[in-house]
Amino acid sequence: MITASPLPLWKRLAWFVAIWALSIVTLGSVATLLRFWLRT
Amino acid sequence: MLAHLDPLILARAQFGFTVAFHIVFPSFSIGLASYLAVLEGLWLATGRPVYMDLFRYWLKIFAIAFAMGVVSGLVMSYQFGTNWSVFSDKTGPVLGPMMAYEVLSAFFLEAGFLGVMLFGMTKVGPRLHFAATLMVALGTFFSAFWILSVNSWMQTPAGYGTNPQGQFVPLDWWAVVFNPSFPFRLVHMVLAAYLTTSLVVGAVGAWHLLRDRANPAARTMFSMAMWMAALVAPAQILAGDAHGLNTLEHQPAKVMAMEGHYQSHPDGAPLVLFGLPDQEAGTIRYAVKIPKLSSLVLKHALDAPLAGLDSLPRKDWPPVPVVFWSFRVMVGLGLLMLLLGGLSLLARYQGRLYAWAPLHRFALAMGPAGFVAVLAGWITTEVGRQPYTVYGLLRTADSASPLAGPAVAASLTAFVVVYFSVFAMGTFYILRLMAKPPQVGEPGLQPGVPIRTAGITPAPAVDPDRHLQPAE
Repeated sequence: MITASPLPLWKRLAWFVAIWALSIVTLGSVATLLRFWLRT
Repeated sequence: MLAHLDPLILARAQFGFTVAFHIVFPSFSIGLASYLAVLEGLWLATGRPVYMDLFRYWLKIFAIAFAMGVVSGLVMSYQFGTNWSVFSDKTGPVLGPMMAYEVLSAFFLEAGFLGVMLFGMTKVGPRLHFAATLMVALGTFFSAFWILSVNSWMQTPAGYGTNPQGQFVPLDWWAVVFNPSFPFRLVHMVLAAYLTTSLVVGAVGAWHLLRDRANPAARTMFSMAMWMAALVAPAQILAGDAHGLNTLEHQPAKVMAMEGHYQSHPDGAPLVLFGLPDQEAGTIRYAVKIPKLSSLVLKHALDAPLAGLDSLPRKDWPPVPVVFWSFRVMVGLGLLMLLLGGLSLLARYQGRLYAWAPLHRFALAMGPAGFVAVLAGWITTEVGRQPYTVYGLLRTADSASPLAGPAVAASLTAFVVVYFSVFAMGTFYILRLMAKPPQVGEPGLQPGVPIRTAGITPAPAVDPDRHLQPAE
């Protein structure tokens, strides 16, 4: 079983949330730009 | 010249073209997301490096297929507004919220966790990374769930009323979402996606086995894919049969077209294996038939009566030649998939799964079969719904936007040019990735960054295999 990781749990969780949020923000920005462009 | 083009035909051609391109990618990514989750789960459970090698190998391909699926899918929603505005206006109160749920699940689960899946292994650790992979797989399933619910409602509308403006409005969301054909379509499509993926993975495995029988990753992926084909192909045939019986109950005209039954058969209908449907004359020319078999398949009785298209007004007939042949392409390929699964079981039993070159060549040839079968199946169900967009309620001719032919022709031409150039490049790149054999210590998306699963030991840098071993 793979059990351990070099980083503490709170850091790994923070990275998990940060990468997820960054992905959402990136995609959301692209979608917003597209929407703005289509409205004009 | 362009002024004489029929905007309705062009709008249908445009939607057909773009959706046919689109469905190829989700068919692959739904199955591949689950395959990646299985690979990573097996790696976590067993620690065998080959599973992580395969995970990394397929992750790169998944990322490209996923991106092309998203891009080609975006176009579909725009077309609802541009070419099918009457349809959007009338069905929006029912279908709009379900489409929004699809976007939310695709956005927050698939796209969001894909970032963690692609770039997070060294940051979040194996278990959280596995959680992200599961979320992506779950997201692809939810995405399929909502889109198939929308499509099924168009085939078998339920739980709706109409308002004074002539719009369909939801009265019972449970009935809308779980409309009569939805469970059958969902199972049939998700199994199709798994089967499509297993055939692609099997073909890639076979390609590399034909070059190097000793490649451990090629052996593992081929074995896993053949297990999947052997198990899912028969299940898919059973699911397809159940779906067909459901269609007979709710959309009999579609089944009449699939079976080539222009005439009613009060004493048992024959199964038309092949023939040339003649829509004008309302008959199948040069038909090769097995007497009574259609009644046996559809009604489980040899002499059961089956109505034909002659029992319906001609204006309600779907285009039989397209439905008739696309259905046969799908069924024929399904039977070939069953044969491949069966042969793989035989080879496994005889202990020559990795050594039987004819099986590998057959698996290689069947690589694209899943995509063709999916396309043929969707052509059967979508063309079979004609002449309606919402079966029995809203005609296709009454659903289109009031556009002139040249306007639709121009956007269709742009789509054809852009799609063939962009997606051809993407597909070419995927094929190049597939042509490379999976390596021991397969590089991920961050080459040069070692994946360490435990401690601060420098051992991973010393032994290229060691970094994939489980931590004690």
